[in-house]
Amino acid sequence: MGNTEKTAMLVRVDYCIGCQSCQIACQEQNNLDIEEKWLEAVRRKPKMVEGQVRMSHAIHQELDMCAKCLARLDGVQPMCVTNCSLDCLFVGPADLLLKKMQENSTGKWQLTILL
Amino acid sequence: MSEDLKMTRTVCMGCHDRCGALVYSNDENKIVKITGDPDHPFSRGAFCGSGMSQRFIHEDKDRVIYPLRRVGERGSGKWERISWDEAMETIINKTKELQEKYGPESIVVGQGTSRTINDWHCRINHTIGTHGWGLAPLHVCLNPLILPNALTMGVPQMSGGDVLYRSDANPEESNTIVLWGVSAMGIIQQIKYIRKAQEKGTKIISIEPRLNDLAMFADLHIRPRPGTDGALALAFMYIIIKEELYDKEWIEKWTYGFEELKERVEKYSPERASEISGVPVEQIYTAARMMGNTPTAVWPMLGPNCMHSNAIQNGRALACLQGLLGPIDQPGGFLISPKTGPHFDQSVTLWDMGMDMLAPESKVIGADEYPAFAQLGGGQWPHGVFRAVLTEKPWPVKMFVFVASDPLMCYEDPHTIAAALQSPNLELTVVKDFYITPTAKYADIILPTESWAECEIMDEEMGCGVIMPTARAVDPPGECKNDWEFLLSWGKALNPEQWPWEDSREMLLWRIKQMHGLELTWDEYANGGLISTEFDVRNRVYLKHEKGLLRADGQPGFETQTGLFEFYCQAMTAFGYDALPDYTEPAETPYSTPSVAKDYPLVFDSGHRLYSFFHSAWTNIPQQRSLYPNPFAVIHPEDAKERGIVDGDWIEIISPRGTIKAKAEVSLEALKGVVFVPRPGWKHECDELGLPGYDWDGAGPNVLVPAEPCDPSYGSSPMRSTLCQVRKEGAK
Repeated sequence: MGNTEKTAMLVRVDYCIGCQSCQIACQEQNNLDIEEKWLEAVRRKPKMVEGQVRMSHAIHQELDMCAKCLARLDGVQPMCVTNCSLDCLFVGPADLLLKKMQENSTGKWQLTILL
Repeated sequence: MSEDLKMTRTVCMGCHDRCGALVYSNDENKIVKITGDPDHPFSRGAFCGSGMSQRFIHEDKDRVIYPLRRVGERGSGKWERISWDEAMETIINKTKELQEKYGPESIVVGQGTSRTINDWHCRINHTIGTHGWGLAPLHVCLNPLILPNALTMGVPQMSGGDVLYRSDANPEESNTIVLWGVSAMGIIQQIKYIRKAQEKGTKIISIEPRLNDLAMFADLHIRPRPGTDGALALAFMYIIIKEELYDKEWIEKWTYGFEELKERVEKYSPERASEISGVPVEQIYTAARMMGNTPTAVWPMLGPNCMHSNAIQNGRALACLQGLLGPIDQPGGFLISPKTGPHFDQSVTLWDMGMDMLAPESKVIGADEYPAFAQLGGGQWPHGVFRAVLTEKPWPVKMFVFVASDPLMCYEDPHTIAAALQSPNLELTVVKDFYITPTAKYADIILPTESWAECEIMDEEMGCGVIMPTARAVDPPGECKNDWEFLLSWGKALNPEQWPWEDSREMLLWRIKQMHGLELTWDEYANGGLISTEFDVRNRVYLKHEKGLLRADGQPGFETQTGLFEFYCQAMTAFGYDALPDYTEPAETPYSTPSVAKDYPLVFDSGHRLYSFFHSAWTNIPQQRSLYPNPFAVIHPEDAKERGIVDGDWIEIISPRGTIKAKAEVSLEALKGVVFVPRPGWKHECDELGLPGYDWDGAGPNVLVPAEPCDPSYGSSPMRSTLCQVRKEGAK
């Protein structure tokens, strides 16, 4: 995939347990200094919604850097994807990930696209 | 990635899961990256952040890579490099001297977890002249989970959950899965399979005081006050029996003591259990009926029946609940594994497990006070060991060797341990570890250690009957040696007949032969891929009790006194426990000790585990530490407000035993009235991030935990259920 295509990250939010393996995998994959984070898995506290406790964590990414990483890997899946214990994180061309998301009939998904 | 990288297929030994790893290294002996092994039969490519820290550890400038000898006073922090020969000569000479002068019982070898030495540790103890596990935290870890199952149904395994098998599990066979006292961190590899089963209709119940990450998707999350799990289990049984949600044929044919159980659970109506545990009555009914929709797999981890002063009877209640949900060993139920977890072959350990550990000549510390732990747990009661250094009672303890263990961080009442480690009574302390730990600071000799990417040793923990070969991806730095090689050179000097091997490779092949009857060459082991043994869980045989597969005599039934699954278990009474499951209030709670609760009104629970650390390790590793930079405690918003504490405040957590500090994480994650302090203790500083270390006494939760009162015969200390108070730092 080249830099010109739209890069996206797809996360199945209701599977993500916030283990932050992807955050470290990203640093390891790209030899980043400890302060530099292209992918952050942010653990969030439980909150009340209409009297019920809800919980979910948040994945934040610098998609232009994801695009660079994918270009460099040239078809090899990045470690943030392969190491994920829940198989709930995907990076790639936006149209493919949109399709992947639409193949599911259940779950809470988050698709982030760099246009 | 450049093309000249070497890829090594091996297994991570950073925790018990034993995930497959691919280690990429360059010709400068550096690890370039580590990924999960997609072809590993159980982990299938998954790999956690903690495992990736291996790259940093391999080249860390602060790592101990040569044998060190203390210079100056104990604890002075000054060390000189010595050779392995010098170190071993000191250790061997002192061993022989003490064996002669004070008897072998004056030498205590301690181990921690997950560095593959379980059976070699028992063997070196035997060589020295002592027995069993020596010193290990088995009074609070795993064994209290195994013991009730061992006594109740003759099965020494921790849980029956088929999900243990990860990618080869079929959790969808269960209508209900109960995750009891488990955090997501402990089953990180299994969750996706549980989730997939859930999508096909399996219901998930999570029982845990804290809203851990499993609460995100559990169909029902139940939050008992810590340590009251036994009452809850008894109430579940009350409902299941009243509503006849059990299999009558199974109960009649294969269980013992059902009528007595029925009478016992009368004491534990859902209303009473609700009063005890704080769980709403309706939730208890809902959960029991969900469980009654069998097959149900109950997966307890350390929450309910480890780390409480009522640990063993809580565990018995859970074991009986699983029997009531029988048949045991049906698809989707409590599956009896051929063999999983640490398992022993006497020819390897040399420990006669039938021996009387309580006999005076066995010389097991704690045998008088906590006989169940000595006899059934096979270890010395840890606090008693450290106390013996100071008091020389029941006999002098003069020498410690700690392998993969940091006692100041892992045992209750570390004040006594610190005193023992500094006592002039102690003649030699050896620590074998990666870093200078709080315990190593008081050592006389520190030995350097190979980490998992640097060595070839292995064990079957969680291997599920499959041997997963390990390989050396990179050479260890300096003069690091694996733990087996150390025990080999020590053992050989004391008794060469018991330690005939040349190196750890020979030990490994011999061990496989003894345990699995497989004769392999090194090449066959290293290059043959995964090796299936006779215990491979993928060869499932259900209902083994009907087929005569559980008893030594080959008869149908269970390996118990009655040959049946025992709700009424006579064997319990030998150790002073009721033959029926019962609930006793933990020793220090708002109800059992109201006078203590006046000043310490909050329940203290240190069962909280974090993804990035393993026990007290890795708070010095920048990537791990960056995720959890500060020691913290999770406290309920109302408890915080009452004390004028806001999120992020530094607070002090105080018990009658001591004080530690932490940052307040004010969150609904906490159950009101309970303070959750994560296990790690943040002992090490992290230079790269400029973050301080807190040694053993600054933030380590065990500072607050007493050694006694503890479980009446197993000695489990209340690390998850005791009392504390919190206040803003500096407040009165």
